[in-house]
Amino acid sequence: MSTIDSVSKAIALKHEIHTLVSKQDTDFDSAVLDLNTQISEMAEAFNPYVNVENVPGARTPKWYTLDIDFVTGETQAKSRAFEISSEGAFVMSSLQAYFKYTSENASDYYPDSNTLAFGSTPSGRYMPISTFPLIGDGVLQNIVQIAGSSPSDFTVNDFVSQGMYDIPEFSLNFELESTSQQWCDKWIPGGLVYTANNPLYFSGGCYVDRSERLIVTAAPDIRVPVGGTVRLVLHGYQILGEVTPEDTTRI
Amino acid sequence: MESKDLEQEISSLTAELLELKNEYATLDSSRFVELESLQARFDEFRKYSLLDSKKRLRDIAGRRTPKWYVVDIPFAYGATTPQTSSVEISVRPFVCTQMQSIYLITDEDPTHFPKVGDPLANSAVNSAGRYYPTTAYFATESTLKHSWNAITAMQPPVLGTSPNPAWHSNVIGELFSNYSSGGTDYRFVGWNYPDFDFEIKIANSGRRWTDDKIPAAAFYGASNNPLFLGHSGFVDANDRLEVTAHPTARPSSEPSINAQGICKFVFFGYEIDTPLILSDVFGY
Repeated sequence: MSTIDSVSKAIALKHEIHTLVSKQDTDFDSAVLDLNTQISEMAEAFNPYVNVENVPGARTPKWYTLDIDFVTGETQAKSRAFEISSEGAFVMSSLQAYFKYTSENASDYYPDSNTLAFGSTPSGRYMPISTFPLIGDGVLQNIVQIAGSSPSDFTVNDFVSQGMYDIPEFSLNFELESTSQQWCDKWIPGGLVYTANNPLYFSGGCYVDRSERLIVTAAPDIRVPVGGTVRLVLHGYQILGEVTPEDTTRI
Repeated sequence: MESKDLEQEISSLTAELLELKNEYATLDSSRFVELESLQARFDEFRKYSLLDSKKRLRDIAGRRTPKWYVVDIPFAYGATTPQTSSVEISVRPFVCTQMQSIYLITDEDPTHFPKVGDPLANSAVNSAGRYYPTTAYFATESTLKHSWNAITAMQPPVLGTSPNPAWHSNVIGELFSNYSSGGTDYRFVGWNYPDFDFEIKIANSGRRWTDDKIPAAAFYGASNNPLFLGHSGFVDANDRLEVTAHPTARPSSEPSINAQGICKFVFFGYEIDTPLILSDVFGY
């Protein structure tokens, strides 16, 4: 082999190695890039804050109450709002609804004081906001005898007549003021907020954000038999701190 | 440099280049093997991890807001046939965690209720605006457990003047019965309670949540608890929840629905603020 041939062969080999290195590096880089892209996509898809439990901040139990006052005989719906503190988002666990008698007028209670001459009133006592928890779970009842929608049928010889008449019948509606988002598509019967034995439990990590207002409307299904206050109790926990679910996450 | 030395140098260089080529090929091959192994491990991890896939509702990002949907199913006094009604889901998918049903009485005719007083007479009032359960099951259970047990425990038993409605003869047949005596129609305390079986269907997808008619008692509600779903059911945005209520109480030759009202089937849970179509995400 001539010197020139040897040089040519060496040069060809050098090119071959160059091509090999160049091609294989490109393939390798491409494969590495592809893997990196997949990892990046996975990291993008993984949101560590997707659940409200992962939002940082100290938790503290919290109760909010809301009173909506009614006088005897009212038939119109009324609204008031829970106002969440600026401490942080409030995550709801449960809701209870009560009716607290406020009327100190004995004649407001059924039957009027002329019939039974009440010496005092149940003012300050708590009742359910619906007869449903009692009727649904109690013994079979002739409902028109114990829970009419207007007072009547009382006879002193039959002490159970309209015995539940003074228990009101309310339906509820909820709306987040900031977004005008309705929580209900229709009125929710107060009897389904339970309370007699259990609260209504929320799930899914629902929350009301800091300083947000939750408007509650209570509508009498029958005329309010005795003046009193619809008293709602919202229980859950507050996430204290600057971080809220809404502004740091995609929850 | 001599020509001979030059050729030797070239030959040596060529040999080194060949050796380099072989070493590089070996190295490159092992690099790719390692890379492939890494890719395989990554694929395996992704396949079984929750990081890159949405396998549960909790993996879906988006604010949760409590949500009730109520399907209103009206029944006239005397109705006997099943009725179907539905409700449309909003622009956000709905996750149902609890169900219950309730019966709003709208009947304003006192003659549709059992008579009251002593002597018995039609009530002067009605109970429109009050609520019945959608089944007498729980109240019957309470009657058997508490009322009848209490009566049985008392000696002598409490008696009234038959057929005074305060009086019980401690037989189940009487609780829901009616009869005529001396020109007067008597009805007992269970007379007005409706009883339903329910079917639930997701209208657009055609998915059925019930394979057959499910007794109202199975959804609780009347027992101070809803039915908590073992696995949350979702309904996509703009889909419809459809409920069929079948009256089941059939006193002989008497109407099935003894008090006009609205059967309200209530779905409770939360909605998620997301544009995702959940059935696409989960593949069903």
